[in-house]
Amino acid sequence: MTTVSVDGLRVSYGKRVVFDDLDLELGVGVHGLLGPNGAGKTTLMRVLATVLRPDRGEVRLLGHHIGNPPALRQARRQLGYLPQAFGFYPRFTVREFVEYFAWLKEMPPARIPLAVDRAIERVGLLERADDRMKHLSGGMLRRAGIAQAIVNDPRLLLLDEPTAGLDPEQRVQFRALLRELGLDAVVLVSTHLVEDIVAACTRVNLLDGGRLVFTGLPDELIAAGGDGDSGDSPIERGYTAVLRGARTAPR
Amino acid sequence: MTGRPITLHLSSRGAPTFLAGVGVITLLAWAAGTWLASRPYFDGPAARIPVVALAPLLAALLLGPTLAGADEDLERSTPLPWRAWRAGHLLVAALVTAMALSLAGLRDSHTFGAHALVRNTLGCIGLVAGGAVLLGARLAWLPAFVYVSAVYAAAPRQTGATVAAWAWPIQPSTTSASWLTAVTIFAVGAAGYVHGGSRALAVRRFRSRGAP
Repeated sequence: MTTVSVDGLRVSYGKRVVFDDLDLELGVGVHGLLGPNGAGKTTLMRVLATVLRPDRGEVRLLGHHIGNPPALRQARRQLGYLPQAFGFYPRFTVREFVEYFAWLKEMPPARIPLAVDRAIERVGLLERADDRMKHLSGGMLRRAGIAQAIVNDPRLLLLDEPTAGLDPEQRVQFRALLRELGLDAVVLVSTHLVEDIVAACTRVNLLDGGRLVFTGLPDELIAAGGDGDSGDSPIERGYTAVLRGARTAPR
Repeated sequence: MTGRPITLHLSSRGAPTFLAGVGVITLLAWAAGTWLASRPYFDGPAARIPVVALAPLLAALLLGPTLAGADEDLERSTPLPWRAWRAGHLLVAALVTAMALSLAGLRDSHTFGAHALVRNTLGCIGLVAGGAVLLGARLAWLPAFVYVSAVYAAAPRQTGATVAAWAWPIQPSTTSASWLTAVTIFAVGAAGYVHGGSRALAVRRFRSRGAP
């Protein structure tokens, strides 16, 4: 079932066109979003998070057309978003931060205390829940950011480089959390760490220069690579092979 | 709605610091106004011009950082009716500041007293709100600071309608043109802020359009 649909998307920054006529469809599951720097991953995330209005094109999130204000508000209630680098509130404790976003997402007040504790527990920060955010390490801040993104049990979860700053053990735990979340939600994860894709994603989308140059299963991306392609792992070889093919193919 | 979300929201905006700052500015304005008016080398109500010009400016500068949260993208992705919240935030801040500062000038409310403090509060807050729209919350103070400082330094002594229109921060409160300008600046700044929030339009021209 398609729950995120992007049709004919155009986004530009002044004269620089990031996307021109991009189409994308996502269903329930964990979708990896790969691509080199400047490919448009963060821009796509911001469009889907409804913080960047496209020049043109139709975006439907969870059945809601985001050009329609009441529908936009409905979609935002079911949305979780972690930006690539998020500004945090230094005076807030982790619990206050997650609670604040639960309120901003218009969760029923009676559900908030339990949902906050559950979200903080899921990212492994329960012991630091009452610490002020200014006292947290980079990895802990990232996990607090993930906690606010999942506090409302979103049906659409957008995570822009969520594993940046996490240590290997935390990344393993995070992948397990991703798989769990992807059972009944659309999860889109932008990352440069291709091993996260293999371990946690059901599908992969590869952007290059604002074009969607690959969409398929992780195994299909792996199969695209050969021994002659550069990379230290099968998926890295598949990644570089697809990019090379996309860049040499006529547009 | 309980008070807890409001408390968190105010805390996220640094409202306690702003309120404490306005309290301190009010006390200083009261003390400075009284002291200046009693100096033998000043003549009458004009002694309070520095207070009337600078106290609202300082309060408005403190308001700037409260006009945005720590992460605009993260907050804009949530369904809260942000335009209504921004309107409430600005109006309550203007009301609190104007009420507090007017206390400092109540003893002689006319000419350069409470009325002028209220007018300048509106004008300065309008400039800061407009600054937040154009430059973002962190630099929102800049247009108000530059403009009021320039007017104060220029110090025109005439009270004609044209001068009153551009030099409103240091005009007697009895000149209606100064009120017209200050209220217009407040209305335009507030409308821009309520509509678009704190964002750097000058920068975003090269990026893209944001959502409400």
